[in-house]
Amino acid sequence: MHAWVAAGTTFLASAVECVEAATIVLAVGYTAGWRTALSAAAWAIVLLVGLAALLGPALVLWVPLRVLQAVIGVFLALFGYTWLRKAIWRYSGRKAMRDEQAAFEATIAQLREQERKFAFATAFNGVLLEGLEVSVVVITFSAARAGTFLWAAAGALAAAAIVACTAALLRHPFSRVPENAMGFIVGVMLLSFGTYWSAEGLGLRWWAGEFTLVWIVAAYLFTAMLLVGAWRRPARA
Amino acid sequence: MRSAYKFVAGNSRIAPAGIVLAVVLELALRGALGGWAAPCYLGILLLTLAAATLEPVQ
Repeated sequence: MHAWVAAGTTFLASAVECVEAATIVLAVGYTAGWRTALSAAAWAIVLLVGLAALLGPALVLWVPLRVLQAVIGVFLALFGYTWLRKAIWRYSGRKAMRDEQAAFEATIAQLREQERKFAFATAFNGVLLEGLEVSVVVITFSAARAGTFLWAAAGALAAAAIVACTAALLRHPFSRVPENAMGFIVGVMLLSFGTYWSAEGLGLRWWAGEFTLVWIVAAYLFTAMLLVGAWRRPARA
Repeated sequence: MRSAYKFVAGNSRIAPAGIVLAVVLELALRGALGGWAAPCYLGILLLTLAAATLEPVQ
């Protein structure tokens, strides 16, 4: 069960981050040329893949599993809180929904005010920063459970490939991708895995073993939906 | 340092504090809680989520 859920979670997390990175690369492509945009993106991807390929297996080899599970669980929970909190704010109307078209236009306006040499840095930083979180999630998934690395990496790379191919075909920001809903699900999954693994790392025993993960996901989903309802602002008359 | 904190914890103060509280309480009260230790741990983290959404929107 863990392998499939890990692949699904990294797929969704990677899809959300790649959609945001694609918006930046497209904006750079239209303002500074496709060669600059694509070479910057390629360098950032090489760096990210190298980081995941080196750190993932290295952690498993040198750090005891119990310690890894506790530390990684805490990291995943922190990431999960960040994603889910933002999603709850968005769905309750306290924060604007992510809009790729608006982000695309803002990046283009910003690039037009700057010198051309900043275009490479903008695309490189955009891909690197959006991808870094996905790399950390892939590393943590693979380190916490043996045999998960390939599944987690495959999920992330599949989403990246789909987003990259679609971006190359459409050459337009992905304003129709439900990335706010995807962010909500990723937040729930990261927080659930973080809770499960950190508890195991601390030596706590779950009542239903691995199956408890389903109950943890349900608990976070229910709580998050309750919070969206509770914090929802009344519509203006 | 500040950007690393933002990357890991999304600038939340309550989320890391809630996790630390949950870990410390579990280590201290594990014996007394028995089979309830794991559900209590989950409960504290669920409350942390609710509290973290009360922080100023970033």
